[in-house]
Amino acid sequence: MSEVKKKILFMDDEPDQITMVSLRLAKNGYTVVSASDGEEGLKKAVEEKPDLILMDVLMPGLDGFEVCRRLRKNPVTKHIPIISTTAAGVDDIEAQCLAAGADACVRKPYDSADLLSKIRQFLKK
Amino acid sequence: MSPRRAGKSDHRSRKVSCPASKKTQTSLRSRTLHKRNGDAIFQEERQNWKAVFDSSQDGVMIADIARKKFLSCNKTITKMLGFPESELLGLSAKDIHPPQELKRALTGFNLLARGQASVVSDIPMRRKNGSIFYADISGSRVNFFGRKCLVGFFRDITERKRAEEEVRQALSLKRATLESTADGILVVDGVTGKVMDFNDRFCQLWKVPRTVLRYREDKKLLRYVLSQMKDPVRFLSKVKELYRYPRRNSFDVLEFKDGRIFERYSHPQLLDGRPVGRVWSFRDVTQHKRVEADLQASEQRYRGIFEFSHDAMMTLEPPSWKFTTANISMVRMFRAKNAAQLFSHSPWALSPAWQPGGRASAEKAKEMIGTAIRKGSHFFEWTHRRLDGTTFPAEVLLTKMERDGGVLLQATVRDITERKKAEDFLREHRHQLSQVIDTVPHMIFAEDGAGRFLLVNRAVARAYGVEPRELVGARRQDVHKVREEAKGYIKVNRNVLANDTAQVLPGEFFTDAHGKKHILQTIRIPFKMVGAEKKCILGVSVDVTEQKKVEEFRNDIVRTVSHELRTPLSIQKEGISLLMDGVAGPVNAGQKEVLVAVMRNIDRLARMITSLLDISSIESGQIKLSKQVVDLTVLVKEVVGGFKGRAGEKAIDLSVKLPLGPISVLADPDKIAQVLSNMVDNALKFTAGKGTVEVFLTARKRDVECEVRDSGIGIAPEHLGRLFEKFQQFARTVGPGEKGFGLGLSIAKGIIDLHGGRIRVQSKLGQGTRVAFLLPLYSTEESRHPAGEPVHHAKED
Repeated sequence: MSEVKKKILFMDDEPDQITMVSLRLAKNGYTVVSASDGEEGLKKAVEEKPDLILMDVLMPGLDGFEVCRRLRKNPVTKHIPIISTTAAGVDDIEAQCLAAGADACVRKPYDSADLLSKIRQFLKK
Repeated sequence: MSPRRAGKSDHRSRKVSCPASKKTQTSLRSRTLHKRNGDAIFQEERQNWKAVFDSSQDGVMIADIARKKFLSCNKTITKMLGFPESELLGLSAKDIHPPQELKRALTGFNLLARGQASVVSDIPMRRKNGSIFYADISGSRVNFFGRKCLVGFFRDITERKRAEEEVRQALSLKRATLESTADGILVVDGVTGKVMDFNDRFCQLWKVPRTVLRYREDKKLLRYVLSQMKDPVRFLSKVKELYRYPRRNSFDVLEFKDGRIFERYSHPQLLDGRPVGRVWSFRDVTQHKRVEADLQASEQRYRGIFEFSHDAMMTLEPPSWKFTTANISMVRMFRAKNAAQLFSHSPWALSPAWQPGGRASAEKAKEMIGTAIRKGSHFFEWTHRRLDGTTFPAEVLLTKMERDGGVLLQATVRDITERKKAEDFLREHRHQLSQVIDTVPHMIFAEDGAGRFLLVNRAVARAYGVEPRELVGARRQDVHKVREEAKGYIKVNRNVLANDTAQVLPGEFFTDAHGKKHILQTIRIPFKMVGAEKKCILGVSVDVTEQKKVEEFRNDIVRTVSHELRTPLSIQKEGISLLMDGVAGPVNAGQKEVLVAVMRNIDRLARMITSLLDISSIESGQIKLSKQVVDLTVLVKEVVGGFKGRAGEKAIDLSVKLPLGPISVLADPDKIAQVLSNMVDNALKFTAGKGTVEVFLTARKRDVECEVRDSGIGIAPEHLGRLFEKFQQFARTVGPGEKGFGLGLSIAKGIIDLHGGRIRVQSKLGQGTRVAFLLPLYSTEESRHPAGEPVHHAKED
C-alpha cells in the first residue's frame, strides 16, 4: 500500500489494553498513537491530528465524556471521528457517549472484528 | 141575721128561775118583753146590726134589683168608692164601674141578682175620683122593704191582685230560672207523683215531647225514661225508694243505651220543713265522663309505665326530697324488701358518702336537685348505694313536675354497671391497641386532606421529636423540617383521596427533627375514621434507609465490579484474539485448540458478568426500558436466525412458525431479543442431536404468545416451580463453556414482567420443554397508558 497509513489515537488508562489494541491496529495497517489519560489524549490529539480517535470513557482525571466534549469544541479536533469504548454495564452508556459527541460506542470486551469494521466505517467518511 | 143580744136579757133570764117549765117562762118573758120594748128593742137591734154592718171589712151595699139602685150601704163601701153615703145611695150599679168594663160588671150583677152565682170576681170598680180598683163581689138575694134586693159584699182584691201579681212574677222568675239553668229540672208532686213543673232542657235531655209533660202523664214519662236507660230496673227501684223516703237527697249516675251519661240529683221540695214534692235535676256529663275516662286511662297507662318500667322510677318531694313513690324496679335495684323501705330516704342516703370526683353526696345531690328545679330537668351520672351496702354506677334523670300548685321531682335511675364495664373494657382495649401500635417501630399515622394529624404512634412522635399528643391536630407542613418534603406528602395525599385508591411509594425522603435524612416506603390508604365526615389518609411508613443503603451499595458494587472485571477481561480477550489471528506469530493446531478453549471461557465470564449486572439492575429497578413499537415477527426471525449455525452444529432442526401479518408490541427490542435468545439458547442446550426446536408466534385477542418448544430432556416437576428463581441450575449436563450463574430465566422473567407480560413453562421429563412469554398487543390505547411501566426509584428533584 502506497497510501498514507491512517493514524489512530487510542486513549486508555490500562497499559495492557494499549499493548493489545496497538498490536491489533498495527496488524491491520494503522499507525497508533496512544495516551494514558485524558489530558495527554487531548494534547496528542492537537499535536498528532489523528484520523480517528478511539478512547475509553472511564478514565481517571478527565473522563472520557469531558475529553469528548472538549475535542468537539476544539476546531482542530472537532471533525475527527470518535469511537468510545466502555466496560460499564449501564444501559444508556451508549446514549451518553453519543450525547458527549462520540460517533459510536463499543462495549468491552469487544469483538475485534466488530471494532475493526467500525473503524473502517468511520475512516471512510 | 138576728144577732143575739148578750148581756141584760141573759142575766134576767137566769135570774128568773121558776121551778116550773123554763120554756114557758122564757117564751112568756120574751112576748112580754117584746110587747113592752118592741120599738126600743128594734131600735137597739137595728143599731147593733148597723154597727156590725158598718164594721165589716167588706163593703156592703144593698141594691134594688129592678132599678139597680143602691138602698143601703156601709161605711166601708163609702170609703172604698170614695162617695159619701148620701151620694152613694143615689147611685146605681152602672155608676160605680168604669164605662169600658160596664158590660162585664152588669153581667156579674145580673148573675148575682138571679142567683146564678154567689160570687163574681175581679170586677172593676170606679171610685169617685175616677181611679179604678178590682173587687170580688159576693151577693145574696133578700127581701128588703118589700122589694127584691141584692145584698152585695165587696172585697177589695187590690192587695190580693198585687199578691197574685207578685206570685205571677215569682212564677215567671221561677220559670225563667228553670229555663236558664243548664240542667234539666223536673218537679214532681209529693203526694200524687204527678209532674208539677219542668224546663225545656229536661225535655231536650230526655228527648221527651212537651205534650207528655204538659199533661202530667207521669206513667208515660216514666216509660219514655226507662226505655232509654241501660239499667231501667235499677233506676226504677231507686225512684221508688226515694218516694218511700221523701226527705232523702240522692245523687246517681245514669247510663244510657246510646252511650250518654247523666248525673242525677234529687232533692225534696220542702215547704215549712215539710216535703211536699221532689225536684229532679239532670246533667249531661257524657263529655265530662269521657274526659274523665281518658284521664283515668292515661293515668293507668302512666301507672303501668311507672310500675313496670325496667328503669327505676321514683318521685321526690320537697322540702327534704325524700322518696314518696317507687316502682318495682327501684325496689329491686336497691335490694329493698318493699317500696316503703325506701320512702324514708333522701337520694344521698341511698348513696355512698362521697361521689367519684371527691364531692360529698349530700351536697352534690342537692345541687343536682337545684339544677333540675331551675332548668326543668337534669341528666347526670351518679353512684348509688343499695340497702345491702353495695354501690353501683347509674344514670339519673330528674324531671320537674307540677302538681296541685306545688313542685316535685320525678327521678329515673338506670343502672349502668354493664355499660361502664363495657366502657372500661373498650378503654383498656383501646389502650392495649395503642400500646401495640406504639411498639411497632414503623410510623403509623392518620391525617386529613389538609395534612392535619388525626392519629400518630410513638414512632411518628419520635421522628418529630415531640410527644404524640402534641402532634394530633397539628398540620404536617407546620411541624415538618423540610417544606418540600411536606408539600410532596400532601400532594400524594390529595391524589389518594381524589382517586380513592391506596398508593405505595417505595421511597420518599423524610428529614427528621434532628436533620437526619431517611428514606421511607410509605403506603397510604383512603380511610374513613369513626365519626368523621370525610375520608382521611391512613399511612404506614417503613424506614428503608438502611435497605436502600444496602441496595445502593450493592448497585455500586455491581456497577463498579462489573466495570473493573470487564477491563482485564477485555484485555484477555483481545490478547487471545491477537494470538489466534497470528498477529504475534504463526500458531499451530494444538495451540489454536487451547486458545479456542480459553477464548470460550473468556466469553463465558463476560456473559456471567453481564447477567449479574442485568439481574441486579432489574431488581434494583434501575433498568431502563426504551420501549418502541416493535414487530415481533421481525425480531423473532432475527434472533432465531442467529442460532442457525449452532443448531446446525448439533444437527437440531430449528424452525420458526410465524403468522402472516406483523404483530406489534410496545417493547424494548434489545431486551426482548435477550429473552428470546435465552430461551432458544436453553432449548438448544438441553436438546440432544437430531432433536427439534420450534419457535411459535401466535397473536391472540389482546396479547401475543411466543413459545419455544424443544424435544429435549425436559425438566423434573419438582424443579418447575423454582425455574425462574435466581441461581437455579438443575443437575443437567451442559456443553463446554456453557454453564453460567443460572440467572437467565430470572432475567427473562424480570424483563417480561417489566413489559407487563407473563412468562411460563411446561415440561415433561424425557419429552421436552415449552417456554413461552406473553406480551400485550400494541394498540392505540396502549400508547396512552402503557402497561408495565417501570417502577422508578423516587428521586429528589
